[in-house]
Amino acid sequence: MEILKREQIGNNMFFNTVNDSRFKTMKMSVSAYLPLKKETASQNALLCDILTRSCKEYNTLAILEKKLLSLYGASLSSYVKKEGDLQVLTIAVSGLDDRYAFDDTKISSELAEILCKIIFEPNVLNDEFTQRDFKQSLRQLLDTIDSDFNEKRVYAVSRCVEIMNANSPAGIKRYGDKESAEKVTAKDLYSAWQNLLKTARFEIMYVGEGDSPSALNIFKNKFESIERNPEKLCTETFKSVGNVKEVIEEMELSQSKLVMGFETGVSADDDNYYAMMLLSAILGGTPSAKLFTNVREKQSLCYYCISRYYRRKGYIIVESGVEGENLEKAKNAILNEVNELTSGNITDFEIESAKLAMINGYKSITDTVTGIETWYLTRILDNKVDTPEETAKKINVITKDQLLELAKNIKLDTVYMLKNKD
Amino acid sequence: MNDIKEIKSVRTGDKYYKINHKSGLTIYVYPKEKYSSAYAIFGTKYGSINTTFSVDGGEKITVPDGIAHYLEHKLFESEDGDAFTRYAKTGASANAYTSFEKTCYLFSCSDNFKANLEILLDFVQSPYFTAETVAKEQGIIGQEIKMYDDSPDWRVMFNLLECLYHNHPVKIDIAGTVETIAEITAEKLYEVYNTFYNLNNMVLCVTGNITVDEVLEICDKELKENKQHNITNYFENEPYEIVKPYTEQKLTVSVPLFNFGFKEKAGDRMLTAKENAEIDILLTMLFSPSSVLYSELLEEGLINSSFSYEVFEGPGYFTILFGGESRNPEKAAEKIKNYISKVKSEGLSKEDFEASKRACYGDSLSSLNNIESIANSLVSSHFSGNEFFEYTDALAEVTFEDVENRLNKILDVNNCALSVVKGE
Repeated sequence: MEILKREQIGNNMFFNTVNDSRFKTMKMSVSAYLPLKKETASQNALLCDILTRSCKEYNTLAILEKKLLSLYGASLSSYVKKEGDLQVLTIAVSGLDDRYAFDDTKISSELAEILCKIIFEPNVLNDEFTQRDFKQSLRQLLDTIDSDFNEKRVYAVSRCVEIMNANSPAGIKRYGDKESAEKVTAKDLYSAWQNLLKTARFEIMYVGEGDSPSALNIFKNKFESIERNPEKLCTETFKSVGNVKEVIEEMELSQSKLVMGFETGVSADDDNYYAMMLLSAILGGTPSAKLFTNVREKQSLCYYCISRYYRRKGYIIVESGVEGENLEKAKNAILNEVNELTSGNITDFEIESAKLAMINGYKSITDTVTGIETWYLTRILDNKVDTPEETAKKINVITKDQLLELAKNIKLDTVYMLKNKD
Repeated sequence: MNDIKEIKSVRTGDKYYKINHKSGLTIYVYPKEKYSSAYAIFGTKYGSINTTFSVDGGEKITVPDGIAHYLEHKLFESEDGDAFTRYAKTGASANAYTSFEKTCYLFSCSDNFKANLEILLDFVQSPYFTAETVAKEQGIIGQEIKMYDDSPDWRVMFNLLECLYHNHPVKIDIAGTVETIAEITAEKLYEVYNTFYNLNNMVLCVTGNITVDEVLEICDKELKENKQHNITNYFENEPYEIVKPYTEQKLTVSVPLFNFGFKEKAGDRMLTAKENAEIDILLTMLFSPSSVLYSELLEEGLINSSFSYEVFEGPGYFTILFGGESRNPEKAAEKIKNYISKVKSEGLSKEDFEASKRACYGDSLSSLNNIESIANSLVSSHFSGNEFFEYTDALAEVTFEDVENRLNKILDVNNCALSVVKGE
């Protein structure tokens, strides 16, 4: 159960299997890992979308969706993520396990075949994606970029990350920007895809009952004919540059947003990162954390005030929503709690409760298909791939001394305020 | 004595236990073998819409909007500290939510299940409200309300409900407004607490790596018998007709969004499992990404992948709701209406029916993977008077004719409204 079986099927290409019979569904995904670059981010995001609109055999979205519907409502999805300085494109199929079909439909092998067709037999004519799919993908991407602005909590965090990482790939939005998206043509896009098949690192992930050896062989054979030349992938640990940056933007809003970014000096490449995760949890990861207890419960300044550690880059983001007139007060209240942390005012209760909460979270991850999939797709970039259980054990043995020593590294880098116009 | 009944699904082999506990509480236990965690949810049939009520035929009482949600926040505090501090010692992840028709308290945990269940049952049964603790929450909930005021998804839905409902309190924001929550006092909180947090009006659902014995051991200890009383909820008469067909709000958004809803006849009971199955199959046939309409809306640039549909139903309200982002919501809504009229006159496709039926069956089984979703569905089924597995069985029984007949009863193109949120 939930142990990752990993097999290399080519140069920087792996087939990962988590054989788990507890679930009534299976999920299989193909992820491409690439350096996040301003010039290619939107193009890659377009690729991820266009591939799921049709393929040679199912040459319109309606036909493809009809096929999925007949496979007991299976789903085909694509998503673009940012992982440190990398962009990760994932295309996934998921559906009911064969055991539950009321006829002899082989749902999982049909889905594996559909996924292969999408990757290796896209709907291309004269070395171009069809104009029909291209127009739809471009429109979708522009809407997606715009809709990130619609939700102000999401927008405010992304602005802070952008300001902090102005000189690093991690500052680029995962979907890129509208201007570069609008420059891409259907022809460019197809040659970008052919190039990507050579240069990206590929991780195929199967979570479900059995081993899916047929899918493994299909992917192995298809990739064999591609001349691989993978790009080097790396993420630099976040480093503050110059003085604390403070940016205020104004907008018509009911509630103002406050986001603060902190340098920690510790990222996923460093074994200290487990302790940094714990520090962030002590600061603002649970309802017994410093921020919740003091900024929310004692001072009633906000409804939410949380901190999150971005372990790949190694920074902490604190976010809250407050009255415009309370922005400064909330900022100082948060800084006060961070100060408590860095000067070593951490109680045994705070440490133990944060540990328990994190361990509880890790142990529950393996109870969902997507939990397992997401866990391994991000951990795969680590020097050593831990299971959630192993991570829980490492958290459990962290000492107070380790925390006190490490906490000194946390420094304010950026304050971003999205202020309501009076 | 506790009355224990085993309920088994013929199709999946899954089973759960339904227990009529001697205290008056109904308990569902759904063990999941080889899972690492457990999930428990303790809920009362009391939500934002229950603002006018009486007990045992007594005086009719009206309370401020948003009080159910306010109570949810305050219940976490007891005389000797708050529930979060207690959970902090066991490591559970705890939360609560208030919806239109229910309030639920929950936790998930991988260790210390019994201790966690004890905390849950104890704090929900131990109200402690004072003028000070009530006042302290004004700022916190005030910010929660303001956060939702900026949320386009939230606003577009409530604006739609205002177009659809003349009197039903479903149109009022679950958290109330900054003004209505200012009227909430400790006395009023005790009043609604004593009315609705009676174990006979509540349910406990537990799923995951647990057994019936473990759950009952704690329940027998923590639950005292509650005398059943008769709660009457009053809702003003709601006409069938909508209020107005269109509304629009300006917010700082880059891509406009819409909710488009068909107001349906809400009877004096909730939809049965069979009726739900008929509607779900029908909506899949007509509006899923494999449908003719979806393709056309997409080709004409009227929707994007955010397009969705759902059945939005509760005591006294029933709407079929569409939502998504669109650069031209009016045209999208017009097209949906024309399509419905066309399908109603030309009829449905048998082939689509068969495929959609399978898809709904696939969906219903997929939801059995997840202990959270099982527990929440058990609560909803219980409060709507259905047995959880009935839905999957009903899906198998629904015929093409059933779905045709259902189509003729719903989606009245003369009884729908459109709500739009767009930028300045």
